[in-house]
Amino acid sequence: MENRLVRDIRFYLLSQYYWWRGFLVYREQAAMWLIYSIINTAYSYITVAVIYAVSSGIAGWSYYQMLFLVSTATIVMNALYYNVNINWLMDLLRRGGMDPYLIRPYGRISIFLSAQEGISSASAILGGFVMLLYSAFKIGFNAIGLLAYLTLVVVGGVTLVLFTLMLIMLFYHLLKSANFVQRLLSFVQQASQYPLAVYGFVGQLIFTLVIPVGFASYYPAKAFLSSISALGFSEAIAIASAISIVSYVAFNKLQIYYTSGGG
Amino acid sequence: MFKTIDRYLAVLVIGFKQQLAYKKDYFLTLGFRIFASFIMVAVWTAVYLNSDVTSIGGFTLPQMYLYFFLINAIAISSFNEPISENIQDDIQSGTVTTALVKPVAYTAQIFLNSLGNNIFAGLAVTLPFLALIVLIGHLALSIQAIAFFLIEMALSFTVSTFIFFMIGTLAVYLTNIWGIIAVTESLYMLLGGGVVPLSLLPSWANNILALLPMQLSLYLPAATLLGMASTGEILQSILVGLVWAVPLFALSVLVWNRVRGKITSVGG
Repeated sequence: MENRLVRDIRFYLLSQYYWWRGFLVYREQAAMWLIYSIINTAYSYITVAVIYAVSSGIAGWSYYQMLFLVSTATIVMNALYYNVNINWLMDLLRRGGMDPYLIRPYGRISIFLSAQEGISSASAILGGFVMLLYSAFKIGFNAIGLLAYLTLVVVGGVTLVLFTLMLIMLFYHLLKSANFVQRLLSFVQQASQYPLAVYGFVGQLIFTLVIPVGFASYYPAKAFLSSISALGFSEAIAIASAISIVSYVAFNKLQIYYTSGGG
Repeated sequence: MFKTIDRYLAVLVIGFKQQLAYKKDYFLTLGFRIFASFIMVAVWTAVYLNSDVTSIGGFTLPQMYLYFFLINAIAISSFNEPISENIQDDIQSGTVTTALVKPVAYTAQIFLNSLGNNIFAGLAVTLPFLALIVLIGHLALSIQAIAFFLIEMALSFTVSTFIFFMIGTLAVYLTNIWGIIAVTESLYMLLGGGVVPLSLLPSWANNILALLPMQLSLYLPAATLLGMASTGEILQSILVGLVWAVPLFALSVLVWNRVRGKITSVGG
């Protein structure tokens, strides 16, 4: 019997293939969304460039280190948007569009990630990756820092996806509207592009324990810059994993009570 | 004549009332705009503390705080992006055909409708947000500053109406223009001072942006309320806005006359 995980991944990849084909049918629109995504991403780079051009910047962070953090946040948040199109998912849930997907023999998470697309975020991911490489080469890096960075980005990214899916299900039950989640994540995206230290103790708590974005952008960047201890790294992994498990369990619990248009 | 005015007024009121259906959404918008301002407040506080200066680009730290709060308050009602969305919706749903036979010109319908939307947004989000900023920031507003602010907002709304109207007419050819609307809106924010105060940019960039109408939407109204723009600068920017408004209006009329005959909708 084929491994369940392999089947789920194949389902996800196949869905992506068809979403991309559909996206490219409307070439003008596709180009415009990709440009939009790049312009929106440029906001943060422009802000950082202006800050460092007119001042000494943020304490403990050089210009290239800030670029690195912004790039990491850009990649992580846009990877989230690529996989979880909040409005689309909420619309599917509300109109019963999710029902034909849910009877398929795949895991719930794979189904949710495959039933919609956020392909327009791809250009921002690519742009973020280019800036990430540029800033990384300017900073210089070592193998341990890179490995710690990649580990935290993956763990933090998965946590963020599971947390968002749980949030969507929760707000489907509460309000049947995507607006709150959408606005919350736009806010979080903006906040994730700066060092958590600027938000003070309360801000750091909010952006790690309440909304786990810090584990996907700030802590990985700190790990890459070798300014996180082994204990700090382990703690980040442990807390992010705990939030992932809680989110996953809550997501599945909320699924049990899912009803849609038509009952 | 009064009957005609009543008709147009009714469209404006409908636009206003439509937004009443989304009251919760406006409170949500207001809340998140305040939160978004706090991010920039935190970032710029860290920058000022680290730089050990009292002023950056002519902005003291409290002025920088107020700038970002003002930008978030103003952005929702200073430019008329909904007009292009409305045209697109009319084309996609086919309602354009019924709208065209109504005894009110279609252009007037969509303009007044979006004006009604914006008046509601102004009253529900911009005004309370501004009142909060004025109270907390102890802004001493002169009658002249308020008058200039209102002129800038009105001119910005007018110029952006023509720009977004022309973008909206692209829906006649492309049907779906979400991407184009989003790109234009993003550029408006970027070039209007929504990302950083324009006075922090290099002088060459400022010289170019001074010739564009976008700064009327965000930077100039905020700088006017903060007392950071001289009367000369304000008058010059208003003049630039007027210079843009006239040809953009003419171009909008020209574009509309060309595309109106090409409109097709559901049913042919």
